[in-house]
Amino acid sequence: MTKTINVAREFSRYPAGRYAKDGPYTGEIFRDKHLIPALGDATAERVVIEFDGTRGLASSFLEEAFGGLVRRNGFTLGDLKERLELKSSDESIIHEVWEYIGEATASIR
Amino acid sequence: MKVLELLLNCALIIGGWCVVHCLTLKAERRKENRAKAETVVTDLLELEEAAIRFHCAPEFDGHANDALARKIQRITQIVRQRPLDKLSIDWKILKELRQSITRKNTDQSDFKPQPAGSEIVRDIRCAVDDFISRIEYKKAEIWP
Repeated sequence: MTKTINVAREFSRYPAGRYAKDGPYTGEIFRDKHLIPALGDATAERVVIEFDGTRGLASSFLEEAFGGLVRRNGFTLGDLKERLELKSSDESIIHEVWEYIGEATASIR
Repeated sequence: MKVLELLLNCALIIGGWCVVHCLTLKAERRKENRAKAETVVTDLLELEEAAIRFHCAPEFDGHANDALARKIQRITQIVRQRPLDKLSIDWKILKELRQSITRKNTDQSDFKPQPAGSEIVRDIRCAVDDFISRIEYKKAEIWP
């Protein structure tokens, strides 16, 4: 089964910020409320994240949401490569997210 | 014979007009495209100033922070649409621009006013310079 999360529809059109204390739609909240439950669902072989439709996606949000999966929640680059699929009409966002996952992996080694 | 001559003259006049018209249109289009590319350069310079103002401000400004992220997205969209998609702005340039402005120092809880020569300020200037250089180079190449 594939689970799809459309950030704009299911979280916010205006995701912003890194930490939960800084607002209602931050990277930390998106990770805790959407990414971890989806990746923790054993029936979801693939988790697809769609970014189109959001307005002003910031790097701090992306870094905390996706890099945090490795830094704080113990996911590995291998796990995520196997199960996570990112979709955006802006290719730079996809590369940026994988960069954060890679950096987080390097930082915990 | 005279009819043939007349027809030939007419064909030459119409043909010549078509060539001149097409070349004029092409030149006009090149001029318009150059103007659109120059608008993006102006937008980038404004973005640079606004980003440095935000990061160097004595206090965190949430509205300015949101506005910066939206402006980056608008510029990113514009350069991916016709006709500016012909500039072939690499995803790395777009990523570096976004990262330089919105990766660090953009949360109220850890905001610190940046001094003039800080790493964040330098990164913003470099990312904007790289973006503008790419536009100028490609603009001269494809719309001389």
